[in-house]
Amino acid sequence: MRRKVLMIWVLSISATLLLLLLPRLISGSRIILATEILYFSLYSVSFNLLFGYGGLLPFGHGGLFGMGAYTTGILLARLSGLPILLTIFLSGIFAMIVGAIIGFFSLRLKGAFFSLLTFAFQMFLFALALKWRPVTGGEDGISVLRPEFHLPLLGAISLADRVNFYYFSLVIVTIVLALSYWFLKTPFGNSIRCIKENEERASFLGYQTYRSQFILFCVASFIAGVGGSLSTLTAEMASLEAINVDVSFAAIMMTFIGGAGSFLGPVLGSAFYVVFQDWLSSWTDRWLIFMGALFIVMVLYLDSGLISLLKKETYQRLWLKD
Amino acid sequence: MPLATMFIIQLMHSLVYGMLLFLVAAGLTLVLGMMNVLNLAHAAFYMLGAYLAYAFLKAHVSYWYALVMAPVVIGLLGILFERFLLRRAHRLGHFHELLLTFGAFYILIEVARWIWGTTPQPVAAPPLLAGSIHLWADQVYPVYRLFVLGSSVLILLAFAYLINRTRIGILVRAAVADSEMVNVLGINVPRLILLVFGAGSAVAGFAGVIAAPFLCAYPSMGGDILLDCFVVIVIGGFGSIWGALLAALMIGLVQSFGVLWIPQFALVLEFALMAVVLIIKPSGLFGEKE
Repeated sequence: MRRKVLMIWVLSISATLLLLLLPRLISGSRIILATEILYFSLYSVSFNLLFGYGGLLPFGHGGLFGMGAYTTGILLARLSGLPILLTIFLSGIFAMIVGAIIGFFSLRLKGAFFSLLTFAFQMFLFALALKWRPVTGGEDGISVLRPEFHLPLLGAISLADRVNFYYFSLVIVTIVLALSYWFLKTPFGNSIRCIKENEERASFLGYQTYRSQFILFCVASFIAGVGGSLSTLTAEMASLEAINVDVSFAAIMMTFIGGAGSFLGPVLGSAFYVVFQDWLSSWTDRWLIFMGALFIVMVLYLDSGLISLLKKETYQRLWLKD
Repeated sequence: MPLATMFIIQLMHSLVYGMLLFLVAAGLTLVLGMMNVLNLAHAAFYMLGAYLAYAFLKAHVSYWYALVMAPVVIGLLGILFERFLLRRAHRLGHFHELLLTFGAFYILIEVARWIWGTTPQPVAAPPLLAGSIHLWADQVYPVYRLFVLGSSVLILLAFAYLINRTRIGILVRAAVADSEMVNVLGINVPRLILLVFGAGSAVAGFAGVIAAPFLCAYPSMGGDILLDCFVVIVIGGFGSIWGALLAALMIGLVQSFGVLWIPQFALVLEFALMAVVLIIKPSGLFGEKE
């Protein structure tokens, strides 16, 4: 037991050091990959709130990510001078409003039908982004510039610099992740897990299951929206790539590859997804096929994800199976 | 064009699309009733059917040959998928099944994009069915669409005969109602599921082949029909073939008349229809179980 605690300390300290020193360790253009991992972590954790903790499997989570991305794009393009933190916050709020509408309807259905109804909403949002040209820019998207970040005492920090923006994202992502971790530890978070285990029993115990799932859906939408907002800031562009169906698929893959059973699983999954994509796409355009094949293998053989490879029990289970 | 004529033409369009949708949705709803899994890969099989028709024609093989061969190939693919992947996931639980069919759906679409690209590929109708015929006066209608209508009605009749009049049909209906009980009574339900799965995939492939000449073959056609099928199943009731038929015809109507008047909102109309049905009868028009 003591060894385990020590292990966890060593791992978390080295991970923190790695994250802080990363800009010195890798070359300039690669830091964008690291920033991508950061916002994808936020996004996949928000998906995992629904899937791993809430027992809900939305196929259209990318729609909410896209809402965040487009809100940031529109706000930055139309209202210059809006503080960047407010922009990000408003993007999350807008995604949450859209998420509330989607959740209000979708949560009435169960299982695969819930999944498909969210997928339908995502298709609708995509069509909106594609066709509502005056606002969304259609296929061209909206290009933006990262504004400066004004700190109360230190003055303005230029976020145009990639390294500065990496640290900026790191802080935001860490704060939001910590808040969602805390959210899961509240009594409400526990009731969510209870509903996942046995919805009928939870409702007999007096939990309002629909309402709890609705609140969970709103919270997850907010986080996904913040992730989307950071993606626009990273790419300096809000485009269809932030709202197409692949984004929804990405959430599922990142979460499942990393491990849906644990809080940090999706973070690991995002890192794997981004790095693997970068590596694969250097020699094939159709890297998604390989990602999909890996996903299927994981579903069949290692459903607790890559993060479970850190645990001894996984090896025992793999070894002993059949 | 006089209003009445336009009305009749749109009605025929809606019948054609509705029947096509029924062909895809029928296999999906049967498997859903028996295995309690919504097989998303089914829609990809439909897309694959269209692309196989395109590939056959490109290799200068006759369309008629494709019409026979593509369903056979896709039926076999479906059987392999069920036997070696889905059955494994079945033991692991509901989410695993759904995620597996989802992964397969995704991979098949990516493979199609890889081989045939993202632009819609036109497929020529066979010479015998090209052109139009005179319905009355100077009103013409494409022969090919009539062929689609006719062949899907034929499949519907075959379906109806199999389901209502044969021993296998009785077993399938029983398994939809309660597969566990049928299994206990000494029927090999996994084999029955395999059979239905293969047949359903083959029919989806067939639908893809006959859809190709008037819808083209494109990668996202699977996703498009998947949403329509989903609406059909929800409206018709889970596992109900006749519900699926009725709902598919309704969606056909909504699609072709919606496109006529408010093109952007055909999808919204569909979902409004679904919402109405869900409010009046949450288990669907013909559904018995939740």
